[in-house]
Amino acid sequence: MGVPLSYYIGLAVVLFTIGAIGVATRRNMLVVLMSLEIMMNSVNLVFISFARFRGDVGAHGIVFVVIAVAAAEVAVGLAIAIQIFKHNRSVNVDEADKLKY
Amino acid sequence: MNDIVLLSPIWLSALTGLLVMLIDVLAARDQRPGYLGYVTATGMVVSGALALFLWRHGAALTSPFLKGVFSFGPYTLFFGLIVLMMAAASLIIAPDYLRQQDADQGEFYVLAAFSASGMLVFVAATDLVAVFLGLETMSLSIYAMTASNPRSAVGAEAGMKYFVLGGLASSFLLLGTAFLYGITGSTNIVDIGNYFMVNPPLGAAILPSFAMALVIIGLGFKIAAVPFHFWTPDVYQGAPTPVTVWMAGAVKAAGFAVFGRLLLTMFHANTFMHIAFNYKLVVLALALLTMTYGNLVGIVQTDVKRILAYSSIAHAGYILLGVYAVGTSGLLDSSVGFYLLTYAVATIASFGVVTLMGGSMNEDTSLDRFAGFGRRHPLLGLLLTISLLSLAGIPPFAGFAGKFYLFKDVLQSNVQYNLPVVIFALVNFPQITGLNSGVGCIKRPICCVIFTHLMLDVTLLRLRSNGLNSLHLKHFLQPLSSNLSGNLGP
Repeated sequence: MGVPLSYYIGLAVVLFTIGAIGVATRRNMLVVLMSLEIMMNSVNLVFISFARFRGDVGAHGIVFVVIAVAAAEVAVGLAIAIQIFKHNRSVNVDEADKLKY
Repeated sequence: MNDIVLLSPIWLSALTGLLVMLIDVLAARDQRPGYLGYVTATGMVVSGALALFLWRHGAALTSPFLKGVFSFGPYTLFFGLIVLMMAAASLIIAPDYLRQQDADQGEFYVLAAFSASGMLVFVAATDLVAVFLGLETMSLSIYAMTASNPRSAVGAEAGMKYFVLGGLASSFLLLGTAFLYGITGSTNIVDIGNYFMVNPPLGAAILPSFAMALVIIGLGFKIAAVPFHFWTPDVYQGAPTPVTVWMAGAVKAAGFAVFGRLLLTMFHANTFMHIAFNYKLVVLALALLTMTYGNLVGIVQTDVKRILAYSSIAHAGYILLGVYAVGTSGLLDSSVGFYLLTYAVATIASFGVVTLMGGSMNEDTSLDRFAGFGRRHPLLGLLLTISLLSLAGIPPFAGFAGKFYLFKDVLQSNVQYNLPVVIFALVNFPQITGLNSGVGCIKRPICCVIFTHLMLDVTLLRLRSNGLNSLHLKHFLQPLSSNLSGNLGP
């Protein structure tokens, strides 16, 4: 193997962190959704790298499962974003602040 | 027995969803059928009865693939039944509430049925990928149910908050799964546990600790443990109350079932004793933080749904304490299950009353609206009071027995710091959160109730070495299950 396993895992962890920071700091609901996608896909990268490293095809199946679930998640997320937009006229997460103590 | 038959509780609840969808589509638009909620609830009850019937006969899956994915032992049976009971209860109270809110859509019940099916997969799964699938099936439906009322701005907001944080949590769990797969080459939790048994992690053990932390974070969100709780009050308050019942009861019970199973099977205490990152102490820290935060912040709340949300956070802390004290014998051998049962029943009852009131009160559930509630609705007031007292752990109600046996288990276990921890939990005033919301209904008895409670706390501490028959889950399941030789096993 040309590139060692740790590089792939390192890249995946960096992507996951970028996604997590995006979810935590970005204010646009659509960007938050995108960040969630980055997190899910970085996990796919981990699965695929380990599958290659172990010579095991099982994890390829897991990746397809994750892709399907991520698609379903985005569908629900966009529907909720539309609801938010209808009420607030924007998809800014900060403007949805009716619930607090 | 045929595997398909054995899996029937799972697919039957999904089938209920399809059936309800069909009825809703075929019915004329202008006369929406009012019985959809009851059809769904019936589906849940039938699923539960089937689960009881099939799983108690000790039938095992035969297909080699399914054997590694699901387990239908007494553990699954117990939590599956709690989940289905909670589901049926929230579906029975849902139709009236939704009609009053003018949001009685068939889709709500469809999603509920799919969510219940996902929960059963979640509870029964012994493979991390199946756990993830079950979790997502359950959660995606609940996100949509939370935001299901198109006229409710707070509902949409609650749905968004739950969705974002839930998605974050699932990603964490998934990354933990990926790392465990990388370390052990398997996603089956028993295989992972065996791998760690054979190759115990030593020293810093960065990768296993990292994976473990990710799993704990991912599930910590679902059971609303501090510091992963911050979505809870907002979502519980903003969601339609039947969905709140669903989240506070069924999702929490399922979350704890999986939390206990994953931690105790994969990260077996004996093998993970020697590494720097000891998960037992992490669970203990989470437990103490969770109960303190839930109880303290609950005091200052002014909305009944928020108070109950904080109460549910605090209860998560006590249940985590039980998980902390569980020995090698597994969760089935502890009083955590009984505690969860008492919590679930009291939660259904209290949120049920709030649901009945919420619909007609135009969803204003602030404490002031509940002043004099007992005079206006004597029976409902009594029910609310009893269930709040039970949540608070006041004798003679069930919640007291739950807390009593939980503390007794912690004291009698051989975990570190068991005595200081229990004293801490006792002075944590578990009652305050519950009693605060009881103020509207009953004012005077509170002082004497707190006094009684303190008296009993002292008695409990003195009783700690006495051999009272414990309410272990095992004794509960004795009549339910014919073969209880195995413990938590898959």
